Amino acid sequence: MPSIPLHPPRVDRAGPSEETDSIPPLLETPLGLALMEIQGHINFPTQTDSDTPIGRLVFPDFNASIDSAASEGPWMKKVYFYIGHQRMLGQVKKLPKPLAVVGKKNLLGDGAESKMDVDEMREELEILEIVKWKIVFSSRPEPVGEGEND
Amino acid sequence: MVVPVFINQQQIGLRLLELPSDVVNLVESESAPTLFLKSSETSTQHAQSSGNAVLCTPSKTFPIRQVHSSNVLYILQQTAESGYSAIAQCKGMLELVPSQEDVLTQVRQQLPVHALGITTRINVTRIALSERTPFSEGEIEDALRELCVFEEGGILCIPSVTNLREAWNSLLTAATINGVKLDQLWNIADMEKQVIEDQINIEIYRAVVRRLSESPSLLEAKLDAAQTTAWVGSVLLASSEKATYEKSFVAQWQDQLPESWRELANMKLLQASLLFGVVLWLTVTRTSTVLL
Repeated sequence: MPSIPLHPPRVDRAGPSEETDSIPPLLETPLGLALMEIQGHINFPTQTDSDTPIGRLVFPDFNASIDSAASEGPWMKKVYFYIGHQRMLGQVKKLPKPLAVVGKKNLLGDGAESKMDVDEMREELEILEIVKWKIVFSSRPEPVGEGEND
Repeated sequence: MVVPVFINQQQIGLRLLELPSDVVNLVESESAPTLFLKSSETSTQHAQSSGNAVLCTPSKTFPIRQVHSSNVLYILQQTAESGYSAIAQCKGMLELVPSQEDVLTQVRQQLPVHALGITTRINVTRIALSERTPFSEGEIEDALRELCVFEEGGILCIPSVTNLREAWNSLLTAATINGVKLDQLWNIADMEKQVIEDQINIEIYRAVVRRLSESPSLLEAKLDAAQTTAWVGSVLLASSEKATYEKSFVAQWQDQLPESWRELANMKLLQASLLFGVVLWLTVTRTSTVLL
């Protein structure tokens, strides 16, 4: 069988977000990709168009003035993921080995709109991003009251 | 810090591939090479790994194993509105494991041995070999060099031990006539006259020089005396018709070496093929090529 090229991540890759202070810098990657591991599965409504809000991630101990550099710190020990009236407690962990996010070439980012030519139809893959951290929620969700938040 | 999370209705197909640190360094470097995924059709003994797919860097090969997980990994992407959107989910990942296969064996199994113009195997071109061999280009090149593989009409061929012996003899004769010391830099083309005169296949001669030369140059070569001596011994051993006593074998071996290398011929160099001081000749070594 012919070999399939797996292209390295593009040096000029960039994601849709231009905000730089919206997530802890440690988790930032050029394409803005991150990994979230959850025990179980999120059921979400199979509905129409675009993005459906499912919840929010909260880094309660992250302090932008202290943790502004892409550094590890105690803030990583506590991450909440609120879904409806439930929340899960998790943490940011370094992956034992970095993970390459692999997809078809030009799937994300700037080149995504370019139409495929007929002779480009043969499969070519690309490492879109290399991710070194993940947010892990290994405990079961617990209920939270209305007012209890963030 | 609060980050809203969305789920993208159009989930896309992404896979997660765990990378060893040297591969990470390679793909993150400025002149990162393209890697290749290959799959092997020939090997079945390690079929328990996911298919037989391997990932090849320019010089290394890693078999790929699929690892399932009971947890779900969501791949999030930052959105323009400073939130995260889950664009894909994975129920496992791909791991790279150390290679168990031997590139020499795989290359050897696919190529015909050049003997009296009769070949029993399917013709393989260099490109076809790359496509059919689940190893990196660097490792395939090394194996081709090790086996002295040469091209004839675009088809790859392994020289028989007789071919190798004749090519070496011709080179040795040429060196003697021209007063060339093989362990010092010498001009490859200068020796070819003798080779042509001896009616040796020039491609086999060049493959032998490539195999033995310390430098990758196509113009000049310099042979390592000890390594070449070992190679000559193993070729001689593989081409022996019958069991021989050690003493007479070493004498024969010495006669195949430049005068100044005679003392280097030592059975220790060939230990792997010896038993009880008597040189054993194995059928397998002969039909393939030199096995050591």
